[in-house]
Amino acid sequence: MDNEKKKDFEPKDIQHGIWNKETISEIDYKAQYGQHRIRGCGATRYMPTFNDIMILPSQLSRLSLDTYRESCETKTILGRRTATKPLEIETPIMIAGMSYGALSKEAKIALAKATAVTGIVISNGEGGLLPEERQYSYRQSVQILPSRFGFSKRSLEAADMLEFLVGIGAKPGLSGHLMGSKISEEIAEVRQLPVGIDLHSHPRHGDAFGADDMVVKMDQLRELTHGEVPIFAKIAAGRVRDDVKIAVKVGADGIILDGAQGGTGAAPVMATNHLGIPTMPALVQAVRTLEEMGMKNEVSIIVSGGITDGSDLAKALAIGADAVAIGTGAMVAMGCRVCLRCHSGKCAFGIGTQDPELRQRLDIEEAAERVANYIKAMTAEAVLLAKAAGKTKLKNLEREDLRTLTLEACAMTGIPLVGSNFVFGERFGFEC
Amino acid sequence: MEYIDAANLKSTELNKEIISKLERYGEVTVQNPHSMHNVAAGLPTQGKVVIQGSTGFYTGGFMEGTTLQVEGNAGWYAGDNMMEGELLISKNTGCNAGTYICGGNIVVYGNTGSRVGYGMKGGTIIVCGSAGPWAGQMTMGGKLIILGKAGSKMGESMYKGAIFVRDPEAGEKIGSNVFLDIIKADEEQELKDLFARYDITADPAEFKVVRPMQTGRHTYVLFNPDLKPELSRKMSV
Amino acid sequence: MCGIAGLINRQGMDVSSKLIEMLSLIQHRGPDASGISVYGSETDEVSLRVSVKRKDMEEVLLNIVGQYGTVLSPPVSQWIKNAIFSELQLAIDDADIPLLHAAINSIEGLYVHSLGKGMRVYKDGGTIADLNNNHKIINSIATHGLGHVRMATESAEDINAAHPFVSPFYPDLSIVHNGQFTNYFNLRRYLESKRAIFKTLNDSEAASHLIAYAMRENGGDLEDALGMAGEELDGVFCIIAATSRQIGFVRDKLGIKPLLLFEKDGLTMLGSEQIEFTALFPDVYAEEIEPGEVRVWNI
Repeated sequence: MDNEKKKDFEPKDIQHGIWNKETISEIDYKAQYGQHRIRGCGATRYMPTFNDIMILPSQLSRLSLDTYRESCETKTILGRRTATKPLEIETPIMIAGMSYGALSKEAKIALAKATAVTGIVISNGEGGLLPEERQYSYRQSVQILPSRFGFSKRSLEAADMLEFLVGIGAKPGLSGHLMGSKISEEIAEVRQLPVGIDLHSHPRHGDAFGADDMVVKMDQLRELTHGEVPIFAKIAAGRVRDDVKIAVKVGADGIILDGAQGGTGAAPVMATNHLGIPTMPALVQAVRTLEEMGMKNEVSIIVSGGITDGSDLAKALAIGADAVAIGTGAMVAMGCRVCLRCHSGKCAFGIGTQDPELRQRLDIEEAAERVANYIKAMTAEAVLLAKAAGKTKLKNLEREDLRTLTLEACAMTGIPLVGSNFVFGERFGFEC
Repeated sequence: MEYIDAANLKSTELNKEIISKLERYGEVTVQNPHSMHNVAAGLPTQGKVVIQGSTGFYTGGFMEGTTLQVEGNAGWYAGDNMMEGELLISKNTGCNAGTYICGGNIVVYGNTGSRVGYGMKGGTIIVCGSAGPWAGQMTMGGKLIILGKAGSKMGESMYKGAIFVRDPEAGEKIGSNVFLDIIKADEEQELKDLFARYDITADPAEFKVVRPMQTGRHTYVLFNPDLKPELSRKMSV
Repeated sequence: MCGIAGLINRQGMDVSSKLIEMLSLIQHRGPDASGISVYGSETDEVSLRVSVKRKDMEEVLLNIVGQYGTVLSPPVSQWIKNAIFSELQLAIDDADIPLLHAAINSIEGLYVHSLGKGMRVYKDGGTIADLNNNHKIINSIATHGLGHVRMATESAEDINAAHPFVSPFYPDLSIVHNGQFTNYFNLRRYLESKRAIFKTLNDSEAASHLIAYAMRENGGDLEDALGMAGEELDGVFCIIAATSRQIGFVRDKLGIKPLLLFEKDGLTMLGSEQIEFTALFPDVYAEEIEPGEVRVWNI
């Protein structure tokens, strides 16, 4: 054998384990800057979603509705517990709170205009209430956050719905971030702050330390709004059972539950990837808790965090939500590609930026039309599924219409595994 | 005239009897049908059957050339899937009469229920009395003629075919994807011949025609918001 | 899927045997179970018909009855196939009737089939002929009644799942239903939150509690309750409902399940198929009820 003629063989090692490119880059960042990394959008890691659930269609034991020629009601009423003017929207979709500051003025106006065409509600987010947003929106939700940027008594007067914000799914237990580079003159004016300083919001409300104070706070807000306006508690999904119980006890008309897949303009990667629980199991937990308390018929649930299409909407409604909220999805409809750079203020699509040149890239009318189209189509998708299950109203979808595809989803929800009657622990719904 | 007393017969036995008598005598009369289902199912291609009384579902289903006369009422789905022949009902029928027929003539001298002529592909149905809602829904051909009051949503999403109506309020009663048209000369003649044949007194000139839209069939709207912007709180502040 | 019948008699005839005849003509629509409810002229005596799972539970039943009223005659019990059907007469204050109804139903193994003045429900698994042969149906002069033959679609074939259904929310009400509700489970949860006691997994039971609850809240207005039911129930359905003073129906908006009406000679008849009416008149054309229609007659 001629040893010189034999070439060396280089075996290939492919990293399937811990030390992949992402891990290495995160360590490099920490080594370079000595700080935790903050970026926009939300979790990039895989977490279970509503995709692991299937809807059972009607066949012989039930009759379907004609997808195209027979109607299915989508009108939704929220916050009926105490409000004398509960919120009535034409489809159970809400535009989630995204601040003027995180988003450009053009983006906010486009989103507001989309609600006017579809008959839904938009939340102002953390940055105060942009007058143009209120001017164009069909119904307006106003957030009350620990930071209270731009919030005053006028905000209460303009609201069709209030959200007392405790946390968001992307960074539960933390609070708002807005980098100085995005605090323009205009933003600074609306938020009543100096230009160019990084904002790290406080996580606790200065006028309500704890649930015991919140009970009284709720009474105050009710009095100031003449009992007309539904007041929701917005909570990030964490200790869902305990948090829902307290929200009910402090008197909230409804709960906005934001799961771990929720997005935001800027958040520490540690928070998005390691804090909180995913939307789908959080919703099940919230529904179970309300039923335990006998409050399911009175307290509305809006769920958000990674809602993408009509199937998510239909399944969320079936589990027991009254509506969903979309954030990232609405931005994608306007052109966002989820490049994760919102925090830098350099959004190439004019959505998540304050740079005057970049903002010009967003055509308001076109963006508004695209978001309205997205909402209409999402509704049509959910309606199609509901009709196939024999429903003439979206809200008549039930948890017994669902089955789970994976063992994890089955274990997390208590919904039986497809093709079987099998659940882990307590069944969610009646045996059927 | 040959008779069969159906009082104590099951429909399968009755139908065997009918077929055998038709083969031998060409004509038969059935007494005491007592609203049984499946009367005269799958008849042969020749002959005449008279039913003295009322029948249940699927009267004369899949008929292929015989003449079947029901002197009472017929139940749901009368004359379903007819290929050829004649079905004459002296009184009234239930819903979905003449559904999916491919040919032949059905005449209801009384009233009919909802969804008459559902999905019909050919043939003719004449209703001398009133028709219920969704008459001529999803038709793919043929002619439906309604002399009396029409129900709502006539011709809902028809693909082909025509519905002849003389109800003065027809314009408000048509379904989606159809339009109301004037009657053509050759259609008037066809109606004239049919009316003469079946002893019906009516003037074809009084009829309008519901026809399917060929273009611009509107995109189905699965979401129809009922906007009330004036109810937002900003309006009262 | 199922067959239903309703009958209003203004001439003093035997309603129960007529209902049985009507239903036997549509037996093909449902072989699994059958039942009728009959309302006679008002008496002061209240009749109670209960299904009892085991002989030793009869004593439990009598104890409960004794807590709310007085038994007037010893119970007449029949063993039929796998269950005991008990009937007894009692004197009881009107206000206590719903309480007694709920108290009996709260016991596993006891199920009220009917509880009311001059009102009786006879129901069982099997055909109408079986019902007629096995049960001693009292053929007294009655003013109105309704009946049902059942083809089980989703829930198990248990005798208590036969129609007509009654509810402690308004014991005088009985209903029969042809069709399938697609929001039964949500409705059940809602009704259970109002303290309804469900004894079966049958969706029609939910309709009985829903309508009865509405009647309790609106002071006994059947038309209003049926209108509400037409809105809240999802799926395809025809429901005939009766109390001692009223009888009426609601039909779903798509008009998929049939409901026919025929009136002649002081009789009003409701049914799923034309053939039912031939029990009373040899030749008849029945009017098709409009989709979404609600109508109620006062007796």
